[in-house]
Amino acid sequence: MALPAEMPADLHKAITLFCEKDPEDLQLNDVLGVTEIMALCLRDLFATEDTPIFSSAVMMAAYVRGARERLKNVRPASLRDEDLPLAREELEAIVAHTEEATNTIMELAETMMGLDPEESNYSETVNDSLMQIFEACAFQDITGQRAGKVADTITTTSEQISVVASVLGSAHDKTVGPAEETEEEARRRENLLHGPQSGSQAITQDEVDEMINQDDIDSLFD
Amino acid sequence: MSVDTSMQVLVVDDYKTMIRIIRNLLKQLGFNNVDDAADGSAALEMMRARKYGLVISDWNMEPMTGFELLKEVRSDEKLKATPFIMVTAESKTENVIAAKKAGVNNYIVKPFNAATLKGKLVTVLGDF
Repeated sequence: MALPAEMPADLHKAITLFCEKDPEDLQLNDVLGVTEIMALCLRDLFATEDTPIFSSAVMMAAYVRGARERLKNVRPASLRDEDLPLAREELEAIVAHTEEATNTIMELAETMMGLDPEESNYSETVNDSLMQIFEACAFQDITGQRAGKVADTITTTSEQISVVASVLGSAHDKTVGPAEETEEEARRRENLLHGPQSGSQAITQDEVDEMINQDDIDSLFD
Repeated sequence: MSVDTSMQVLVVDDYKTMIRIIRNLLKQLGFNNVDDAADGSAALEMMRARKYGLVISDWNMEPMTGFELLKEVRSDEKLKATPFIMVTAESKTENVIAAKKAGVNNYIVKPFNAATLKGKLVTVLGDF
């Protein structure tokens, strides 16, 4: 595509570089870069006249500059290649460590449960088992630290997504719905629960009991 | 009538640790004959092969959930009278209602303690 000769040199250069790029490799920042130069050229072109085009060009240039500034600290590659895989590893380690500690504690409890208090070594075995239970409970410190790292990654990810969403203008856009649900996701949604709830969302055992004991509850929901 | 603690109990959960916890609690309460299954379909197969006096089942399992197991049990002439206690970590009102409508005898929210389990067993089976 031939570009007009009278085009400002900066814009000419930016568009040439833009067009030379593989469309697959184009990034939002490339688009913003060209848009900013275009907006600045428009602004300069209409600077002598007080026209809506001039005002729009000024606004557009300011918006693009602001967007580029906000995106400066977004590091999707770092999130994808380092932070999120690391968070996954931390979670897997938490599950493994918790399981190991639980098994150790239960084995010791089962040992104590099977002891005969009349046996001569009863007291010694119980004391040894209790000490090992205390030691196994150290898992909470380690898993707590790991969980803290995962929480930090979630916060960083959330902040970076918010920046991108605000640049794209979708941060408060309720019309932007979730991605289309796959068949497997629908099946899981219909059949499986979501696991433990946080304190504010969960209902208590007493409230569950009340519902279970309410004889006419079925008729209320028919 | 007192409860026959020698009855066969089936614990259904996909977490071995939870099965072990419930098994130990049941043992402390005097129930020593406990079988386990990792999901609803395995449990159903076991129930069709052997008579169980009580089923304690988790909800979240695959391929067959505890809720689906409950519905299967209640629609099976031979199994439908089996006492069934649901145990889940999620305690949403709609889930409790769904389980009740499907015929659950009681519903326990995880995490729970021995006293809660015993209380539910007494409610469902009678004093022991």
